[in-house]
Amino acid sequence: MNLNNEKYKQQIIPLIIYLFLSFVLVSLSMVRFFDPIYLITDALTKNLRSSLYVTGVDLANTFTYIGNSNTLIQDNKKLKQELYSLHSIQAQNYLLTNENKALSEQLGTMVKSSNVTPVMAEIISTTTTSDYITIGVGGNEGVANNNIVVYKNILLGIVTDVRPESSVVQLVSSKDSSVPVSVSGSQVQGILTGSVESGLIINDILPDETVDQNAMVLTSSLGGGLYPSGLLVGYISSIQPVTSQPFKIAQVKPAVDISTIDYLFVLKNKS
Amino acid sequence: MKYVTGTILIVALCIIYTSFLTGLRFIFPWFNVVYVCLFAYYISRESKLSLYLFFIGGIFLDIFTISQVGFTSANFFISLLIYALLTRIFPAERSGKLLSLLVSSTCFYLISYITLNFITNHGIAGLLLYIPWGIASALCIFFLSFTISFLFPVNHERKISIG
Repeated sequence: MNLNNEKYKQQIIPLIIYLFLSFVLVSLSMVRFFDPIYLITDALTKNLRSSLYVTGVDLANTFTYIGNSNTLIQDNKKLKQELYSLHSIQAQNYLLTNENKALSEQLGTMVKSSNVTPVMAEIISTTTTSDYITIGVGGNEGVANNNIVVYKNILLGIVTDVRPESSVVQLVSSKDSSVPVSVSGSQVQGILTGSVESGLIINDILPDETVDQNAMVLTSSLGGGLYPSGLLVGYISSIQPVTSQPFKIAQVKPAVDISTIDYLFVLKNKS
Repeated sequence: MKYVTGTILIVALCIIYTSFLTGLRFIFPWFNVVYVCLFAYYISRESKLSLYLFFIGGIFLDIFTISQVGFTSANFFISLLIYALLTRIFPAERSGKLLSLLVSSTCFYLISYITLNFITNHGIAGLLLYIPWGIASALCIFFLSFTISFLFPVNHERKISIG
């Protein structure tokens, strides 16, 4: 029995010591003691982690395609039909573009050059909550905090932490994110936030305001915030009343699945 | 030499988990592969090396997932303590181990969730989801540890009489 007790003590004591050491590390981490280690590991492993992440995404997509092969054929037919109608829209757009160009020249207006420069970046990793991602560009490339991150004209998030070789991006799906938005085809303006339970949501929509399903949700310059207006965020998927409140909330389907894209752009300020 | 090799292996495992498996999406983020492997190694080997690997593995997981350094290893060691206490209460060889694993592994996932909840203010939604993951990981640890013991029977006989 004593032998067992002795053995048990030998088992427990190292666990307690390591647990104590872990709490010491947490305390040191809270005062940013490990920032240099973050930088070193980041620089050493960035390329490897980036390649592994892309390989994982590709593999997952391959399995997804195999699983959806039946529906892909039907989707392909639908897409072909959509393509035909898009061709006709494209032709119309071409005419309108020429018309617009002619009008601009006539009015003597100049298109203002944007004051941002896009920097292409790849995704290195995501956090466990999928709220933040790490991308492979950082301070060395001129990226700064609060730079907007987009894919084509779709808003993905905002840079919240910059290191020399990489940056952390808070996605619009994050609980901490709040983006002023407007809904196309309506007067609705509001703040888009992330939610674990419901995905992207717009709160406090007045009951008499009408919002179409699948309407586009775009960033607005309301409040003169960080986000430029006109970037696509997603589409309205449903509108629901809130129990015991006069307001409605709209659920928004993201315009792009972050796990399906290979690269994105950071809009860094020219200045 | 064992410590150097172990450190290299555990850092490689952390890199694979935080990059390749996060990209793969099928088991990310809930099924903590690093935790399962380390716990299985701890049960089958019960050596100081396994504790050291728990410590280092937790640190590198935190570094690669942009978390506070020490949170994961603290969580590891809390669940190991729970496991050690339970194997003392339920000393039966296999059933006692499995029961202890079920409880301690579920605790690991619940602590992870509560920690995440504390950091990100995500509310209580999904809390119950962590219990099935805890049970699933416990079963994986159980079978993996016996597989390791089966593949290396000499060490297993020497070390298996825990609790």
